[in-house]
Amino acid sequence: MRPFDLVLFVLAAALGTALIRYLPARYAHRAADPRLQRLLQGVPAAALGALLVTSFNSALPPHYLVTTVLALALAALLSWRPGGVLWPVVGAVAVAAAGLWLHLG
Amino acid sequence: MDKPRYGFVDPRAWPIAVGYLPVAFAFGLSAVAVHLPGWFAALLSLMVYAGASQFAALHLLASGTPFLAAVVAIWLINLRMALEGLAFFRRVDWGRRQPHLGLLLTDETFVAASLGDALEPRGYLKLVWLPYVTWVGGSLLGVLAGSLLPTLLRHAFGIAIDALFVSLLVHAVRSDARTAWAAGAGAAGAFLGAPLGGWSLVVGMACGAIVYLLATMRSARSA
Repeated sequence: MRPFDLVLFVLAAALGTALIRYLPARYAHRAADPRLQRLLQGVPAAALGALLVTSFNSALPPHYLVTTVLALALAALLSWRPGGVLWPVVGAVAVAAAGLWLHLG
Repeated sequence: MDKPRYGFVDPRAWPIAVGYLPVAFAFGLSAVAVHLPGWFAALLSLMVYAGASQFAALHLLASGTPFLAAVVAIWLINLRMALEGLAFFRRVDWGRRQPHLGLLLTDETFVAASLGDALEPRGYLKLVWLPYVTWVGGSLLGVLAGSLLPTLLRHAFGIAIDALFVSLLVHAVRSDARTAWAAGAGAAGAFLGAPLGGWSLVVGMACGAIVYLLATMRSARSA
């Protein structure tokens, strides 16, 4: 993408996100349709599932399937206890670095 | 009882800021790892300020997703903030300032601000400014460090985005089992919609949201 397209992308993403934050704060005291609320509740999890499928092959250089699976399995394991996302991310990066260093395909 | 009065920072802001710093740092590093310019990562943090969608943006742009599909995906990922805003701002009545203050609400500040007594606007600002500054500063640091790191480590940081998605998903499933259905349907929709290219993400999100709605209606009927 050209720099101009990247700037346009940031502006479009920022404008939409600002409206998503602004409008509910502006109209919070008006009743919202409960079905719409339930539909919106499902979007983040659905997005995560879809993103995992679409990004699985591009996370690491090609032919590093074993390293990718091991790193993500560790991230899932470390996420199972309550807490933030820091240690799962750090753990996965450490496994990925070790896998790349060892050429663990 | 008197309400607690803090200096410039609400003490609840510190753990949020400490948590944001390494993730923002990883975001800056990841931007460099996928060969996107540093200024783009910094601008995204400054203007969008929404972690998961920013990581998604890196992946979408690096994998050549069409412009419009990538923008719509970012909006859909951030839609959850509409719910958080609705939930939080129903509890307070700050008049005309309220919508502008809503621009700094994130998942974490929403939780912190929702706990305890309803905040006044000034108290809310004392809670939200430090995490925002930390997020932007951490992204900049990550960009600067990214250009100095060895190639192997830069590649390794490519997994940070997926690890973040896995972690967020596990946390979501632990708190609400129906999210597993939504995530599964989202993944299936994206897989089956692969011939549509970048739009497969939007298809996946729509499938997952509908499945979540159906699961919620079914559990409400059986309750």
